[in-house]
Amino acid sequence: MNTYRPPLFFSSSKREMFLQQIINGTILGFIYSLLAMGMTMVFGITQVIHFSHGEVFMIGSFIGVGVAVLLTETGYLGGNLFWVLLITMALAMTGAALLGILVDRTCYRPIRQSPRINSLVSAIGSSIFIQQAVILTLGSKFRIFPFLFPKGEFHFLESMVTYAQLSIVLISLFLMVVFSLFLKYSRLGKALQTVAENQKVAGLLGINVNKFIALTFLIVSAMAGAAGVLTGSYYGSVDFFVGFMAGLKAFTSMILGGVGNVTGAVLGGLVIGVAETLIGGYISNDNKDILVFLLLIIILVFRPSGLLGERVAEKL
Amino acid sequence: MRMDRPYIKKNQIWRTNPWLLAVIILSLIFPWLSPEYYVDLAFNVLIYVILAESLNIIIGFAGLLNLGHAAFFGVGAYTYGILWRFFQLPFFFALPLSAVFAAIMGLLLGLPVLRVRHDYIAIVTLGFGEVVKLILNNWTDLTDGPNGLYGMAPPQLWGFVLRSRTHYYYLALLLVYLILFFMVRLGHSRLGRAWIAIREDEVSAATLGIRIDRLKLLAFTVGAGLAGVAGCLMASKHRFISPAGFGFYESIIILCMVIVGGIGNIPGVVLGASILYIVPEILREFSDFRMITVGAAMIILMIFRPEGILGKEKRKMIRVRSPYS
Amino acid sequence: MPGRYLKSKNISKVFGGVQALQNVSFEVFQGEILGLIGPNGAGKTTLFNCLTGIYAPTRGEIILEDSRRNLVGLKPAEVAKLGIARTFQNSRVFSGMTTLENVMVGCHLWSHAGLGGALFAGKRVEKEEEEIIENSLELLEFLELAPLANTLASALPYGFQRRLEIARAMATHPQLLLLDEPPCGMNPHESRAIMEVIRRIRDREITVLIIEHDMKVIMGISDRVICLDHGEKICEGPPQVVQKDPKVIDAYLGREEDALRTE
Repeated sequence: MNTYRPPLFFSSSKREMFLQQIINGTILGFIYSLLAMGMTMVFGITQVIHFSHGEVFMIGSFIGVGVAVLLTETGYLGGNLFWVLLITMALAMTGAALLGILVDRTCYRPIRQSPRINSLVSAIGSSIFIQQAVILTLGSKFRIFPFLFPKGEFHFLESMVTYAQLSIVLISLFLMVVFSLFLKYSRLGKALQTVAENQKVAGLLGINVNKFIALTFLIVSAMAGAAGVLTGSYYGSVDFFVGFMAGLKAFTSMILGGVGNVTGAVLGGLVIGVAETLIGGYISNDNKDILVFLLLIIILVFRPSGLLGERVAEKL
Repeated sequence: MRMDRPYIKKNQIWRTNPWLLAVIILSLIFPWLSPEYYVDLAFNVLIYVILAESLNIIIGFAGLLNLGHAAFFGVGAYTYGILWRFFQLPFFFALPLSAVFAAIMGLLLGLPVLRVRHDYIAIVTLGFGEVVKLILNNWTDLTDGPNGLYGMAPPQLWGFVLRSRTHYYYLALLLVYLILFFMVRLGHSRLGRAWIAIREDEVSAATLGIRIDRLKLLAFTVGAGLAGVAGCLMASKHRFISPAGFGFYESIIILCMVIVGGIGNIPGVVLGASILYIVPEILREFSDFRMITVGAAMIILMIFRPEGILGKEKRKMIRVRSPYS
Repeated sequence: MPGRYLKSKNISKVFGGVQALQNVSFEVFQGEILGLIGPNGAGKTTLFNCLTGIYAPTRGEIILEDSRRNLVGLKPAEVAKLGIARTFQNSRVFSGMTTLENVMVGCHLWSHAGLGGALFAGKRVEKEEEEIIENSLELLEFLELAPLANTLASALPYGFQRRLEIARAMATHPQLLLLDEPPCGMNPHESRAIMEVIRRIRDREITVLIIEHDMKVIMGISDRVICLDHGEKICEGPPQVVQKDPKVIDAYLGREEDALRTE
């Protein structure tokens, strides 16, 4: 991912920079939270690590870049960025959701009953396939993503929060809140929780488990698509490789928060986002990805149940 | 009561596999029948046969999904490269050292793997592979980083220098036969049975007195060591190595060789390695499509033929000359 | 008067809020067949898991009489080495191996060949392999599975798989054999046969601890019986006594369907 360098500060003291890093890291963290929520839900229901979730995210950002470029260059909406962002997100979310359902239908569903190692291999295969498909059709060069957020920032405590960052936070929170309300109060949502808790029982109750798994994929992929648009616009570019890295970070966040635990995933995402930014700022920017990876391995070895503990049933 | 004591006869491998003799003879006279290009190709195939079978020990015997196997390949190659760079160490001294260093790396990877849940082994091994590649890239004092190492001298045996492709081919063939022989014996030994027990049902195996942790580590060590051998051999022939050849995609391809051949199936993996090396070679113009085909193959294989091309491995039948069978 | 083999003191096991076992104390005497009964969910399998090191008890000790060793805290492989073997409630045979090979895995414990033995099979390794094969065949004969020696374990009918598990566990040369509902999944004819086998196991001087929740089966075969309910031991003694104990009847009556099931 391109590194985003925050604009100049008033003071270059380490403490101010530290706060700024925290802020930047939190924004990144929200992105990871969106992705990690999805991964943890899929794992909670299917016990499969959804390797291609990162690729769905990447496709979301590619759809986003295509739509956004089209809309901004043709000036179709009179340059009203709010509508451009909205439409871009809507289309990216739809496209991503469809892709997610497709992946489930073709790569996971046929082998639901087989040993888990088979699903794992299939998942890796789907991730590689999507990534390669993008390289072959859209090329391996990065694309510039138009800046769709309001410009400007506000300052506080000698750091600043840009309106772009604020937008990301608000949109992410909005998505998360909508999602949790859906889970808690809607009929579909409650049924989804039942399925997550016990597939066998749900099946006996006449619930079509496969349909609900597909619904899960639809929701999480849409969120990944949204994250893709937000990321692309914020950092200004997209390329085929962002999916792999994002997927890895999302996975790390998921583990940190405890698999199956949606709240944990949200927290885990924030922690990883901040940790990555701090590592990038203070230790090494080139190697920060690998260092986050090392962090993952350390977590897996020493505290595999994560911060908030594992759960197969998720409640937000 | 003890009158009809069953008499155990050794399994007749030649009788049940008559084509094996033909294959062996063919492989021995192969270089005389073919142009240099094919001998070269065959050498590379043999390297990958060693690699794939070494992964087969980890996945097929012990049941641990290792996505970072190329790291051991790389360690083996770089051991020779580095020892040559600084000490001009001849090949046949470097070979055992490559195996040893790679085996140590295997042991190091095995340790965290022991502690993580089954589902996460893939990720940990993947991470390990990336970390090793990163070290190879960045520890430039030792490895000269992305520039790679080159110029390793060809193997010498008491003054006889292996120069031609044919020489290399026979060296590789010898190693392959040794390793295959070794693996077949393993499969029917006490150790092999214990490994397969771990793969099938770890908890039951533990209650039978099998020391799970120790044997998992052993699988990693042995598998890594053999991959190191492949690395050293490859380095000596190609005379140039760089970290780029030992990354995630490489690990995935080796994994596919094992999957296509059938996890745990020793002849199957030979076939899998051959197919997955030769087919992309033949379709060289379509090399852009190589990885996407690999990805699709992984999905399709898991759905339609997870046991691999040759199907489930055939367990040895103990011949018992007795009233019953 | 048979000597004591093992004594468990105050075994308790808690799973995140659920008290699966509470202060379970009992003794096992050498050469006896000890029945462990109780309604579903009483904690019988949990007790087995504590005995074999799969779970670590939250509290309590399990002391082996002759070596005075505490089993608590040992890993399953270490417990097996001390002479305790078990079967599971559902079939856990190694499906990728033949019947004979399954039992041969059981011989791992007392054999020695390692990596070197696999590579360079000298006389000693060969001899050991033969010993393992003979030992395993003998056990297969004991459980009347010998004709199926070369059949892949996954191809065996369920009842035969359960027998295979017993043969495999016996291959470790245990002094104590824990059987978790051996007739589970068998038809009545097979169940009777299995009970006969268990008697013959005891004839080989192996102590047997058997979980079963079918009263008829247990009464016919056990020397003594322990009854658990909700994680506590509620009765211990000869079968006739336990059978009539009001606490035991109460525990079962509350879940009558389970007691009547012969599965």
